[in-house]
Amino acid sequence: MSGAALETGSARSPDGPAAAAPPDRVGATVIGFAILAGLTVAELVVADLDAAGRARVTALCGLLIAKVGIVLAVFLRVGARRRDPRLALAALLFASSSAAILMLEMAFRVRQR
Amino acid sequence: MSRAGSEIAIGAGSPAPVRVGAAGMWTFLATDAMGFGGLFIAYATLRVRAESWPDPRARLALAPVAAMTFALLISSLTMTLATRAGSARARSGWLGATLLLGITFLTGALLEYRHLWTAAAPLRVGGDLFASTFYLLTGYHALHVLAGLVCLMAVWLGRAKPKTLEVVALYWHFVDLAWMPIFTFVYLVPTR
Repeated sequence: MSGAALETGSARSPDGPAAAAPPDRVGATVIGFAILAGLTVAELVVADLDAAGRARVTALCGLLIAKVGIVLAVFLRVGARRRDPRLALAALLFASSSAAILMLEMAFRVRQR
Repeated sequence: MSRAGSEIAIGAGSPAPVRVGAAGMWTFLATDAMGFGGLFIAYATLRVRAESWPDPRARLALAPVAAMTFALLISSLTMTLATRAGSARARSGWLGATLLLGITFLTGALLEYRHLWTAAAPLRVGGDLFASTFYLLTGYHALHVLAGLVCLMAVWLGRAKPKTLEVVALYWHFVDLAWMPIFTFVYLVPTR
């Protein structure tokens, strides 16, 4: 086999895996981190609220989904890496969908008892 | 297709060929996510079916865990900055920061365990469902952090190829990602 191993979108520097990222990409990363930190603080605030348990759980789940989405988009960059994660993401989606269905089914069974 | 026999690219010539290292890590992460998924399903099932479940806020200290969570979040940022650093020196610095933050998280977890074991009402493994699921989920994640720290140390000390950093970064972000549902469901979600 011959030929260069190509990377997934970023140029390479001689001394390391990646050349210095453009400032806008670093900026996007820092903004993503700031949003993540804000969402985590929001979680702590929601957990302390004197609201109904069901409302707090809903809010916490919403915040969790937002955080996971940001990590996938900003840190794992699933949008930029096309082929690498495609198969893995399909498996992840399948697993999480199965988990959600199983949990819903279990909750339904418990309510039936 | 390889370069110096060390890397293989699938689909070279197309816009975004697959690197075997990254593709292998993504596949590993997918299977590992299923492991975490299984534990979360077990946790949800046991919690929903339990006759009573203690309020996590009453048995666990939230402030130190929140600090640990922020340490892990910041470590993801420093890891990203390490992978995008323009010089070896900058990369080494960001990697060192990531290592320190990871060690901080792991130390926090060990101190939390110690505190819970020696408390007036100790939380022991096997003591009850709450304790068992707590130690299982957090311990499984702590093992992942430990494995990530070993990989990071190897890259930082230069025993691994620099290109391995990008693959290790994927793993480290996954460890951060896996902590998020643990933090929400084990520590924050109220009982009723």
